[in-house]
Amino acid sequence: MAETTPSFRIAGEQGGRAFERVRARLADRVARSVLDPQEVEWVSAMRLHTFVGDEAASEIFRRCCVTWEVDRPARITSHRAVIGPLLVALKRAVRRMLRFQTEAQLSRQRDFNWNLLLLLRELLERERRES
Amino acid sequence: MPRTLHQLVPNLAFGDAISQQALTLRRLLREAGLHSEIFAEHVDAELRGEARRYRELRDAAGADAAVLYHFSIGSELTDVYRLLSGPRALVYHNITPPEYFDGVNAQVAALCARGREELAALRAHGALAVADSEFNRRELEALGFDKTAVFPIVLDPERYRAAPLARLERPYRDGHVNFLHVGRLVPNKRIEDVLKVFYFYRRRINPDSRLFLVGIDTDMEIYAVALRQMIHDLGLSGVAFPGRVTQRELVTYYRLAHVYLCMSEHEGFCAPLIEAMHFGVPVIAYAAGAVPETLGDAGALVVRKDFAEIAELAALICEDSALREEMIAAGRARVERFVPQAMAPRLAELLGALWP
Repeated sequence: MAETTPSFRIAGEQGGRAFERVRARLADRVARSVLDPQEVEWVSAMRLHTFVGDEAASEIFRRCCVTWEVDRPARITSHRAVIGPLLVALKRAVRRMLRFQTEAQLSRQRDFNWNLLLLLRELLERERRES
Repeated sequence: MPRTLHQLVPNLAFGDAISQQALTLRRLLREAGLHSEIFAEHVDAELRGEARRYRELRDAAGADAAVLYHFSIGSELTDVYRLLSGPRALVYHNITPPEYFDGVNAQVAALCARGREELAALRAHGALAVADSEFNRRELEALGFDKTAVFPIVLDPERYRAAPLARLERPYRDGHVNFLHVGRLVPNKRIEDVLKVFYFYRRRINPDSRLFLVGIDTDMEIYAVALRQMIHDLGLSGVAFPGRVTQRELVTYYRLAHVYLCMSEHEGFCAPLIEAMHFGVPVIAYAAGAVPETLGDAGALVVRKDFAEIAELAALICEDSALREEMIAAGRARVERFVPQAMAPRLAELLGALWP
């Protein structure tokens, strides 16, 4: 926010005035303590947790990531040319009928997988820091 | 007998801009009276029947048949293309620099690195190299390609005529502001920066808002999980990952969107910008790669990532109808440059270069 040069460009009559208006609105939000400059810094500095420079850990973790979301609906297909559409419709109907049974368990499994994934990442990070 | 122009693509995938360009080109070429087919290494289940196995190309292409090779990653198709004897052209869609995939997927990083090597080797063939943006063309020129041209991605309005899905649209037509990003969840697209902008908008400007991140995370699972982790760390809600969507779903998301946000740092063209403008969605995009030339003067071009400021800009665009209408009108005018009618003379030029 300390920068004075425009951070964006918009063509046109309205667009030409947009930067000044954005600046004024932002200053007003800071003045009213709706926006805290420290929060802006904190968010801007936030980085993603990946495995830069650690190919082995990255591959282990990637494999875990592939299947953690167990309740993500898998695509229903059929390789049969003629009765394929009928089979797909049937499979869809069966899945819909069973959903109320499976959804709760899958959701719990998904939460467990997610937490396990975070734990695994944390352990890998810790090991990396210590070695 | 009609002239033949075939296309060679590594993957014919649903929702992928390169695949869509190949399908649109095939339609235009066929309408122009040419015989044209697509040959691919991998074909998505949804597109089965749209392409033949790439191994059949050499038999299908006679001595006079021309071939366009869509190039964006290292592939064994490069050898197939190299061994062709007829007229041919490389269509360069850019290769994501491998370092973006460091810590995310070493195999994809290696394929990108291999792609760059293959590209450098192809310059010796002297064939025409067509880029879908001036940004890409300059890269080809810097690599030493002699004959280069620009042929942008074509926006085929027919694809977007599908009616929106009522069951998807209804719950989201609730007065909330919908942010949209369309594209694979890949590190160069800097979706974490989209999240940061949305964080300031939702937390400090308007809690009645949501963000749709439409796109698949295949091979990018670590990145997708890291994004979810960031959402968790930010304490952010209102972010949806619809994953792979059908064409009707895609149309619905565009119709639901109030702002299209792109913070990508490497783009060879960025087709979703054109799609968003086609649907009358104001675009805010970071000026990287080919984005400035694709967007032109039709959107908000971000030159410095000040996330709180971008969020405030999004709010202004949503609230100020005069600014919003101006941007939408500019977007619609911009799209006209990429529709098939506008691209017809450039297609004729391309064919003229293949068969001088």
